[in-house]
Amino acid sequence: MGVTLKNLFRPPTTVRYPEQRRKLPERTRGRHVLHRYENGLERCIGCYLCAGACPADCIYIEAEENTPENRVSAGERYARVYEIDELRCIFCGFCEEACPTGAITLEPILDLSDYQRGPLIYTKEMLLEPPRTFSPARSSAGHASE
Amino acid sequence: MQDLVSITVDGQTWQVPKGTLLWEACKSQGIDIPIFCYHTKLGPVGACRTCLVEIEGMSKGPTTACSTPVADGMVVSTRSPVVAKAQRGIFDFLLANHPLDCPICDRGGECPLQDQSFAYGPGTSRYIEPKRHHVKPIVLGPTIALDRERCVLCWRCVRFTAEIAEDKSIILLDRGEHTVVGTFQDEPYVSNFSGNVVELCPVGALTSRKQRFNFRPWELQNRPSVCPHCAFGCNLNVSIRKNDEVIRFLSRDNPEVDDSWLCDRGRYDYEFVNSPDRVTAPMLRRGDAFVQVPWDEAFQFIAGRLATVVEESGPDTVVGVASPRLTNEDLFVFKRFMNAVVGSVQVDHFPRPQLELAGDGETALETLNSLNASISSLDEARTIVLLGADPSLREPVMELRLRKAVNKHGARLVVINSDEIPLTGKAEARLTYPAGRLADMAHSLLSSLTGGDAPEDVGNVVATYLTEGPVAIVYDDRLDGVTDKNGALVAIGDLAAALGERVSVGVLPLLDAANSLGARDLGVLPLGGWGGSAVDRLLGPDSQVRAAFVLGANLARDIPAPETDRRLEQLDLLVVNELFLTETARLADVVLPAASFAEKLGTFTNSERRIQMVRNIVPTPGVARADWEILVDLSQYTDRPLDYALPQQVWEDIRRDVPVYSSISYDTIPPQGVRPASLQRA
Repeated sequence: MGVTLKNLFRPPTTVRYPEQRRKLPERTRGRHVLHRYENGLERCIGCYLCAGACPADCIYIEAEENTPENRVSAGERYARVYEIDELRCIFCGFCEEACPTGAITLEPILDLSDYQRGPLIYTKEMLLEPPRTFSPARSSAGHASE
Repeated sequence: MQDLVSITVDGQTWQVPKGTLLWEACKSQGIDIPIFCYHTKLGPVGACRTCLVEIEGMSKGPTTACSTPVADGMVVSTRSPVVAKAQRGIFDFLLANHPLDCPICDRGGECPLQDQSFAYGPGTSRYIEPKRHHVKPIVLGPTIALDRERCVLCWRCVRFTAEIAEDKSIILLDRGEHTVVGTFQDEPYVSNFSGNVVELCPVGALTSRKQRFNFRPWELQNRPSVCPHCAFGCNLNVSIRKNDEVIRFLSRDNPEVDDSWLCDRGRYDYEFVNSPDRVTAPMLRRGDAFVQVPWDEAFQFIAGRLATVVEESGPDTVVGVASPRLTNEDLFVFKRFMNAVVGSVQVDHFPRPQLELAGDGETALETLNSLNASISSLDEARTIVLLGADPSLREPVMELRLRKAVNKHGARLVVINSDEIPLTGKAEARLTYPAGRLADMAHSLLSSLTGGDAPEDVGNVVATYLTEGPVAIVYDDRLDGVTDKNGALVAIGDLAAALGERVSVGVLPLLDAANSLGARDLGVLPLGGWGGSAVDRLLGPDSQVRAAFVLGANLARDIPAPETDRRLEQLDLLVVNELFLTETARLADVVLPAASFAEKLGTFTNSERRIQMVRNIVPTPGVARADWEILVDLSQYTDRPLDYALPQQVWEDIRRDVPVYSSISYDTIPPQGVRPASLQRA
């Protein structure tokens, strides 16, 4: 009876997901985000190093050359196609380690579910953070709502 | 027997031929010395200084292994502390201004600078000052982009254009630390051989504009193959991605054939393999459109029509025309299919010299055939005669072989042509004749040789150049623009035979396609041999032909006439095996999807009769199959089925049928190909 009464008045350990979300540790490895420089140019240079490092082979890239009319990234080269199959990803973070420009990071975003497989292949548009004016370093981008 | 000297490197002692460069001697023994400027085909220059070694008794300190010939009793250290320090210093210098943009560099992953810095260089740079910057990339020409920041000034591209291709287009500009690679007055670098400088560049300074940023080297696997574009038969490494995509062609050194060079056509014409326009399924004509059908339905249709035609008007109203781009296996099964299954003797290959060959023309071809020389015999020739032939146009890599024969082996080049050709400048003697009159020229050469009347200049050339062997004759088998083709061929044959009685003679023809000689050896010729023509029979004005099998030959394009299209359309049955919906395929009743050279196992016979193997490197698109497989399957729907399951079985039958190939079996064809044993002395 003592145990019952003690637990009866403890606050619940669950939260009302998805209305409420638990604050995840900052270094949680969830969904990937592609970052931009402050001037809005993409950090990704389409070098394939993340794809090369990926043990699950879930990253697909096609690179192309920047032109003066269509400048996408800071260097000569950018990723025209950048796709991650989140169903294959094992969230090891090797892509983040391999990236020479800090373009890709794993953020504390864990709600990766759908009714079909197709939508879980994330395209560059889905992975890329929107252009913004503040620092693109690791930030609150992933913490959707606390 | 060469003199051998004994050298000791890192405690190992062995014997090498006198005069070998120290770097080559070490390489042959598996001792790795870093290198940038030296290249086996280009020779030493001593510009990069990374191959430093310490030689005992040499007072000046570390010296370059690439430019030092071995000497007897030489004691060398490639790993001593002095050498290691010197090499670290050199790599520090090389990397001082190198941008280290490896992540976006096309060379990153297969870069000698990366590998060798990792193995021999310092871990960190001591250079903290701002690096030198250049505009990048600079467009050097239609095919090549230049990044001056990455360049380590090894001179390889400069030496290639100066010594191998001899167009001297890429040069070093300015001096000292301002030295950069470029072209004179920024003229575009246009060359038949431009792709080679990309492969030679030991860093990512010269990159291919076509392939820029298309791939990373670590995704690729290299598979050996043979170039399908001309009869020279250069060896290739085909780079493929994810096992199904052909990404690029690289050269694969075959000292007997290509000497590690490729022409730009061979290097850059590979996109057809992965083209989305490939025919991927059998197609039957329904009215004006094609519908895709299963193999079964296509075969039943063809077998039904074929049986009707053969029954009504006999088997000789069926003709077969195959392209000499097909493998020996394809051509052999094709011939057997036509002869044994259909019962028709009307088989032919196209394109081939369409001569009105009477008996003497055929004899001339046989003479020329029997004198067939090896490509490497050009290096031993005292005189090389280009008789109405322009190798730069037809088999470009031969041009490089000829330049090498002249420069390195002292051959004397005689150009006999009606026009200026790129090799004219290299010729020691030159004869011209009015356009198309090759036969007359060959006749006067012959008459001068046999003591008859001839113009003075012809007589001089014969007296100076054709009296001393060995002589190599390169002639153009297609005889484009020659007025009397039959006469010209007979004259060339007689000339070669007459020369052969006096000096040792070798003949190299310039042929139409990768396997033209194979088609000849297999006898893919109609009744009447060279004189007959199944194509004429098919397209002739009062043609009785009712059905035709066309394998890869594009008659409607190559014989442009309204009559051609009309004749092909009128046929009761036109079966076309093709990679694409060509002009001819569009007129067909049935189009069958064929495999390209990268999708089937088989052999090509190049112009020196070297049998080389192409392999199935990537899967065929859709349900496409090799031509011989298609014909074997089709024969199952007739009452005389062929029984082949593997290309090896076809080859065994070829060996039995074609005496010259009898010594060669699939298992013994080396990566560099092999010439039949009976020819190897030539």
